[in-house]
Amino acid sequence: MKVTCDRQELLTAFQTAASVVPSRSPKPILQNIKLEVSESGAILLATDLEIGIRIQVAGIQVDVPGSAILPLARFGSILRESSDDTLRLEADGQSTLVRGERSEFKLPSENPQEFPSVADFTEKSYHELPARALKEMIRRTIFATDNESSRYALGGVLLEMGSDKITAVGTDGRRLAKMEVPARSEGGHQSGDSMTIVPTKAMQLIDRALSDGDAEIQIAARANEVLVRSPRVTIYSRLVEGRFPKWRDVFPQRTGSSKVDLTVGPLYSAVRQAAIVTSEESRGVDFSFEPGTLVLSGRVAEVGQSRVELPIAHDGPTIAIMLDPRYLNDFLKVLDAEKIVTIELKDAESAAVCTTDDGYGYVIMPLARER
Amino acid sequence: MPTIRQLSASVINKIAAGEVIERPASVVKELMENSIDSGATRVDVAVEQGGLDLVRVSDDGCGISAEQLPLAVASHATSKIADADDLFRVGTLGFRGEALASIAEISRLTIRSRPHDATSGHELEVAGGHASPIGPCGTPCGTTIEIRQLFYNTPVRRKFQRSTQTEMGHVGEAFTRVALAYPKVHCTLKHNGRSVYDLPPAVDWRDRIAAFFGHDLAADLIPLSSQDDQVRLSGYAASPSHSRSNPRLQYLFLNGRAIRDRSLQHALSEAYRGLLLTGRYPIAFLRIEMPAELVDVNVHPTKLEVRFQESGKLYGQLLGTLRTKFLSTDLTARLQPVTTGEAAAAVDPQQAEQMRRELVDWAKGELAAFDGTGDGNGQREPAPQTQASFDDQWQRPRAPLELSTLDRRWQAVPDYHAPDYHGPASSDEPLAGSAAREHRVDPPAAGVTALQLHNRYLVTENAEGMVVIDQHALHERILYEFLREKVLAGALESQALLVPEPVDLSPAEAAAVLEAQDLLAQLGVTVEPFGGDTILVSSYPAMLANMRPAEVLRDLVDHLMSGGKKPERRDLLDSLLHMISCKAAIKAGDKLTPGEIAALLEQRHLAQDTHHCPHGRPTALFFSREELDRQFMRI
Repeated sequence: MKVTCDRQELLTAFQTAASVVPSRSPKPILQNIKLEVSESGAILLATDLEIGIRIQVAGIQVDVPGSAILPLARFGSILRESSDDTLRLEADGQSTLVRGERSEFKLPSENPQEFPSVADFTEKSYHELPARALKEMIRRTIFATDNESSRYALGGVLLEMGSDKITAVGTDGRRLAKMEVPARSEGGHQSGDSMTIVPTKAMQLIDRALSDGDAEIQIAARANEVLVRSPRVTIYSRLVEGRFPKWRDVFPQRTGSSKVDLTVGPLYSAVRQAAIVTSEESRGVDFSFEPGTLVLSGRVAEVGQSRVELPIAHDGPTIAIMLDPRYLNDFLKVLDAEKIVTIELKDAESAAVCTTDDGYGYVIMPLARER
Repeated sequence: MPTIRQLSASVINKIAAGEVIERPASVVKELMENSIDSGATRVDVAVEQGGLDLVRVSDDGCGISAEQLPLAVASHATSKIADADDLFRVGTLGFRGEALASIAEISRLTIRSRPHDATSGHELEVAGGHASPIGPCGTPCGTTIEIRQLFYNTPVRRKFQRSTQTEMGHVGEAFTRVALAYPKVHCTLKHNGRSVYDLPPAVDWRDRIAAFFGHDLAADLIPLSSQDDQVRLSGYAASPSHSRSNPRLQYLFLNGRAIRDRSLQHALSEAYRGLLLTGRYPIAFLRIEMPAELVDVNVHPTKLEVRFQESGKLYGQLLGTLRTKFLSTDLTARLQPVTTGEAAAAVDPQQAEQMRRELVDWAKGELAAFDGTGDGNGQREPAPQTQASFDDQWQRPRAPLELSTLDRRWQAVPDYHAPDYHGPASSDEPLAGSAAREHRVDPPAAGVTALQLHNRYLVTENAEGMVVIDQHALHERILYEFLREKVLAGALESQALLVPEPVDLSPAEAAAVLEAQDLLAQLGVTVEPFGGDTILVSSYPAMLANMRPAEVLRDLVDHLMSGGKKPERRDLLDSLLHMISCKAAIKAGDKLTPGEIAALLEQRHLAQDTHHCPHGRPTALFFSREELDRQFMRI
């Protein structure tokens, strides 16, 4: 293999791929990144066998096609430290030669044939949606997942793919975030009986690897894996095995509850203020929805008390509920300050439901003080 | 058809004997108690073949006159009470008038007795309930009773006697109970002609305890005493470095009578909560003195159990006394000296320790006087600092010989706790006082450092020697104290679950959980039955966010299931706090930076009871400088 490459382009792609590389692995070759060069272009491949990524590298001039195994730490340092615009790479299967204008590195390398294959996107049926929508969906659900759960598979985001939309759900058993985005189904692609639970780590990678500028993203789910393709990147991930709770049963569908509209910015600020006087052992903040005012009060014996008021458009009876402000903040953090959220409440024992007009829903289970 | 018959007196006595005289040890107990009741100052017990062949108890008590001798072995004849009202103020150990009659019925019994004012003694022999005529005999003042061939005419009972060794064990226990209760009485016990115990009258109860259980234990006893209305509690509790796997070393003496009382035993365990490992029982020797009318001893044939009029109050008094004492005592575990030193060497550290405690008390007094507050500060252990000022002298290069003379001089000063006491170095008083105050304001003593070994133990020094600390145990304890303070201050929050979590339990566990439903609800754990042995957890304490609800429930189940007593909210809460602190604490094997070590050691003085982790393991071992000196043959 013999190529000349643009250092900056290669560095960007290399860093994205590097986030997949396992820090410890029984297969040492996985701690490298593979560069595959053909006449048509170059791709970087990395995998930890759970998640895999293929990234196209721009700015490569191919002299001789082939492939090279690039050691993560050393080659990454070379890319970062070098000040040359372009680097020449030569690989013969045993070592890799990196040449700058006034520098030269020779790195021993493993056999490219031994690098496991990284699945490519060959699906004919898939869902298609804009990158921006997919990234928004991930950001709004990923924070609610829980990697520790033993009973349910909560360590990932559940994707339900219908004919014209994708619904993503993340929960840790105490709160649940649900996001619906419109998506076009190609070739009759739908998620079937098996649950498509994409690991949190893969979701983070997808969010990072895609840019808002990317146009349409294709996403395809198989029995135990999911593939995501953008024009530059293909990401493969195994799915989380296990059961996801029946979230539709949990998501309250009720009538006769009170609804209050609030603007995200002021609410976020008020909740953060009230949360100042909470502690790890005593984390509840009392939310009292009174006519015209929302009163947030926190009280912890050795920390102090807080009382924050917020004018609201509520004229029904007073409803009091105690919530963990961190759960509410997680939700408010991913929304724009001008956005309007609707908080729906029934009583102190029932879940609080927050919704926005763009398909986002969030359920928080209340706290109760010792009776 | 069976006919109803009146039983003969002899059968009646044999039946009664079955209740009172279970084994030779019962004979020893009854006879020794008679001797004590007769005002004896010396009681000699001799047994052969575990008491099955012979039990002989001789005393120098008041004796029995010749004409009274037949009455002594008659049933329901006693000198100890006269009418039913006396039952409510029994001041003697016995009162039923059953024991001798019962024993006489099932053995060959000989009584020889001579009252102090009589010129000669008399003898009465009874074999299987048949008395032979009384005859004169030569005998010293007092009474000697010989029981031969116990159970010879009750073959069934005889068959059920265990080996000589077992029976001797019981005899020894019966002897111990009486001899412990009456330290001023000279007691001896011989088995098959060999002396087992020879206990001269003891002025200090510790001496008698030491004679039975060794000097090591006696040296680590913490004296207790308290007075509440008419009830006086006194005695000793052993430091937590001593414990047993059964409660047999808990001796309770009610007005001189050894008793067992579950509620008082529970109070003891409660006081040692967190100081002992689970399954270990504390050691204690306690005397309770109360007016006889406040307690009913007529509830059990051998009077091992009694009924208190105000058992709750007594429970509270015992628990309170122990707790107060423990808070003011340094319980850091001492390494058992490898060599069992000569008597003199064993006494020295003990006395030094005693001195040190007195000194602590004195320093606390100073402290309280200074800022006008009470015991709150006393718990903060100003001792090490006070000690440090003396230690400065110790650390100056000196010949070891001189150090030991200093030691002696300490013992020579009898009234070190008197208000005008100025310490070994007479100008030290203001210095010691200010050191103690500084300690309170600024606990991190300057330059506290420690060496970490194997990433799990910290080695540091204090004024008196080397301290080896278990980093996990200490950190866990500190976190636990910290959490407990916070949690007790506020209400518990309970986090409702979106999806209730089913937990599969065994049938017994499930039943226990459902029975304790209300109790669990107080802790913020809401459980519901879910069919079969599955329990649904629908909310659990918010502060346990990092733990699985199932894990939390299972831990609580263990507590609900263990022990006969229903746990209280506090017990369960404690167990939750243990879980949190254990998870959050640094582990054995974690490498600590010097900063972390210093921070950990500084916090050590902020928490109470830092000498034991919440599970009761010691957090630190102490090797006194003197022990080290001895190991290196410097002294």
